[in-house]
Amino acid sequence: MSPEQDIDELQQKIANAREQISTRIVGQEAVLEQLLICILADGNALLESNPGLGKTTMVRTVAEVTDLQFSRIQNTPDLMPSDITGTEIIRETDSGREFVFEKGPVFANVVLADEINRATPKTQAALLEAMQEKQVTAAGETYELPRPFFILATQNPIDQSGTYALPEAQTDRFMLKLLVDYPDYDEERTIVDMYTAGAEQVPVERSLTRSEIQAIQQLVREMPIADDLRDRAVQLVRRTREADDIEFGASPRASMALVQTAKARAFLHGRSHVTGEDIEALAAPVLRHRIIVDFRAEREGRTADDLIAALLE
Amino acid sequence: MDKPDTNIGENGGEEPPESERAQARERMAAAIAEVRREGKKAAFVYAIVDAVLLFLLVNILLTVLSPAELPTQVSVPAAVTDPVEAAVGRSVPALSFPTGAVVGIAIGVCWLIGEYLYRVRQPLVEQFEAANANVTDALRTARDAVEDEAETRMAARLYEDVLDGLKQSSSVALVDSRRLLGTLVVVILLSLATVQVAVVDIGLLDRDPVETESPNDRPSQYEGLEDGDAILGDSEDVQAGDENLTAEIDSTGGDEEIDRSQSFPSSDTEGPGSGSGTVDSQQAGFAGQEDVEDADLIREYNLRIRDQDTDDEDTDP
Repeated sequence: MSPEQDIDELQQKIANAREQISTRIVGQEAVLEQLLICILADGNALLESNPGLGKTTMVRTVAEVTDLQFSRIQNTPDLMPSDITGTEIIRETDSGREFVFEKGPVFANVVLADEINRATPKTQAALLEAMQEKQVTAAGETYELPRPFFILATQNPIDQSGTYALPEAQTDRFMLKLLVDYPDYDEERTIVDMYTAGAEQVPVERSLTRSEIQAIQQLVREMPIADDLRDRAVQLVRRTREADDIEFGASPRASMALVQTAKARAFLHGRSHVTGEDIEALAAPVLRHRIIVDFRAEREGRTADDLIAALLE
Repeated sequence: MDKPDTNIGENGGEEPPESERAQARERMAAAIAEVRREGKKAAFVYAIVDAVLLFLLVNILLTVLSPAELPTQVSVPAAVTDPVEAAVGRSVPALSFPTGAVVGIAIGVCWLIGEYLYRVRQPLVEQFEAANANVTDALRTARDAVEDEAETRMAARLYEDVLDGLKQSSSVALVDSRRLLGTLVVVILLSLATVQVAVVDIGLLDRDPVETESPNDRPSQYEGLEDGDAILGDSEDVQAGDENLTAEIDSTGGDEEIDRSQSFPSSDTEGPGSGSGTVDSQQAGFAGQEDVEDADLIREYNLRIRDQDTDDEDTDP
């Protein structure tokens, strides 16, 4: 098998996986694409939407199609860090009692941290190490997390009472922030028909293996990018620190995320090079949760996406 | 719960040998060099056409307007002709050219160099991309990857993709044929207008009569030896004269009596030897309007005539 065939085959497989997910998830093409990009770029995503828009179904379907182990954490104010990472328990054995580390739900390939802003800052912080270092430390021992590893956290933009807003240090660790919007009328009607008649769940086929996802992640890292496009991404991020309408700009981690996700998008589209369109398409998802809009711009009704769009012009 | 795979899996197939990737990079580097060459050619085509257009435009404008501030002809300076003369070993006739042509050529050459350098300084790969949509973004990415000496699998794939794309692209698109044709049409029209102006000798601005002074008419400041050929023209072979002419001169015989009377200025001193006859001095003279051809010869003739007269008186009985 030639290298080109190898890469072509992987690109074909990721396209098939996307098609499989689309059979279960109606609409939301942009969100689905960005979710796959985040996986290929080996990052973590923050999904924000109102309840009932199929976030959990989407993430579960992605895990199912890609042969990744799925785990879900429902965050609540009384959730403890050990509930996520795991804890040592005393287990009776033939030789007596011994402490055994019981792995928590974070030990999975795809971890859905539902309503992450309802967990306490202490519990949220427990996810920091997992997200960034891909490892967990419990009872003085460090445990490697399975690869590939993704945390896909969701948060609800409404009903903010009793929630703990994620600190900037933690939101910065999410490579993308995806906004899941309501489907249009036709899509919603299709959803209703699909899930109220016939089978309870639309079956999907596994299209990718874990090793293939890791191979794709490696190829994405190897993808060349033109110097001017890389510079454009860096300059865009730097402009967020200088813009008058932005109180707090994005970090260099945003520059890296923008380039990396642009590469992943190029691979997802079957290309071997990054284009300016990739940068533009991913500027908002990469930057919207990393900047703080100035109160004057906020008073005028401008959002982070509006400011990013203005910076892109 | 299924135990997740904690091992990093295979990289999805065999990696191509490094030598193949290196070869792909070398082919890509050669292709990019070719793209740059094509870009330079296109830049030269644009520059030469524009320069010719500018030359014709300036030439015809200066010819028609004939500004009084500028001479109609510009002579080649001695700094140019002297080395040429020294090189060929003979004098070179003084050369001069119409001012419009000289200024037009100067501006055209400057424009040629300036536009060529300007166009070449623009990224040639990006220009090629702009003209060939099938390699947009990919070609410059490949260029940067080659400069970074990238030989990864994705880089090798990119090189192959771009090389395939280049097979379907053309450097002809680098040249905007519509613009080029438009310029050429203007060049042709200006050429025809230049010929017409040269024939009709149009002058739009008032100007003193054209100085038709030729280089030979100008006074020379040179005071040394002149070249004979330059003054008299080239030497020619002259055939020897073969026509014989017969000249006849009538004269009287020597025994013929000569009746003549001579008068000399009166002399108060009549000493011995003085003749009884009156001798009038006769001074040789010449017409005022006539030029004295040879004063010494005339003087000698006078002296001899006097001596002859004296002898005649002495021999008279």
